[in-house]
Amino acid sequence: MENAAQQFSSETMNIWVNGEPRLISVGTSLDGLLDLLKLPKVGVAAALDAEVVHKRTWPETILAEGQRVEILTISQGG
Amino acid sequence: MQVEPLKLGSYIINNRLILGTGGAMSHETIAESIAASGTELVTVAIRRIKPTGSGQSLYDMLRELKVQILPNTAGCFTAKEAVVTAELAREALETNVIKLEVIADDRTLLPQPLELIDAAEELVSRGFFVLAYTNDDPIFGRNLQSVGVSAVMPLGAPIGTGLGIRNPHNISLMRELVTIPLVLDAGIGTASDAALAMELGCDAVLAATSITRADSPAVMARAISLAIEAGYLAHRAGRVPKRHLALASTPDEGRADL
Repeated sequence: MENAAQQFSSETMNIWVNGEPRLISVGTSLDGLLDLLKLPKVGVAAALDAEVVHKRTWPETILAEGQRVEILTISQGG
Repeated sequence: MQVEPLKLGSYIINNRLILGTGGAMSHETIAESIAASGTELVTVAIRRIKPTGSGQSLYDMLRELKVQILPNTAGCFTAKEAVVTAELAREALETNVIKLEVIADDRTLLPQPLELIDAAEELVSRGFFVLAYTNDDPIFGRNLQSVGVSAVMPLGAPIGTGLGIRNPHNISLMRELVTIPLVLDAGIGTASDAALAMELGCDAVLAATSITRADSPAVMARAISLAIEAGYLAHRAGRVPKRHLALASTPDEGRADL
């Protein structure tokens, strides 16, 4: 059981998405996260630990434990 | 005389009303206001995405309506926040144009000039066309121009107050000192405020609350759009000088001896 638990924890990790905790598989890319959340990719921008990540690099940007992901779009304002 | 197109950064608009979308009850209200006013440019904020469910997103709706989208940095208190928000807006909308807002506090929503000028300088160096929301200080407007912004956007009164243009003389002085586009932003309450802005020499007017929170937003959008065009024409028509005493418009010649 201990091994199974260890194996489980080694395959998933916690990250923060728009301020909410979320458990995802190790190796998930930023692009994969948007797919997982069924979010559009047009009219959308993302930041990782307060740094903007350009859309063309989303597929190769692999998320790490504890990272803070912000996924943004336009809303009414101004 | 026709209203000439206005260049704001890389955007060109034929209608001098910029519609702010904040405060609208629904996306439909925004769409109706766009249609009624003929505006070609609308402002939006950058916020966390929420699943839209079956409804159309604001982004999809604005694209469908073929209006140009001007992102802003609303809600930023520091230059750092504003620069990151502008970068996110550029990424989301693929535009280098940003309406820069850096405010001092939640109560007044007045611009924080020290952070604003730092953010403006940094964004210009990163290749942005910066439309800078500012206090109605003519000298500071000139400072913003000197760091390379593409338009200066003075407030008429604090955001959402509808108090109109509290210091028309400052706006008039700004018009003399600022040679790039001058856009009256914030404080518009009704159509006559927008006409006054244009009569004072502003190149365009941004109106949000006055339209989105009016009882009939689309009707007010149309009224403000017409007022802007009226003010544009009046400014170019060369108004009569103000006089202390009356000046008869009817000649004395031919008057009957009664």
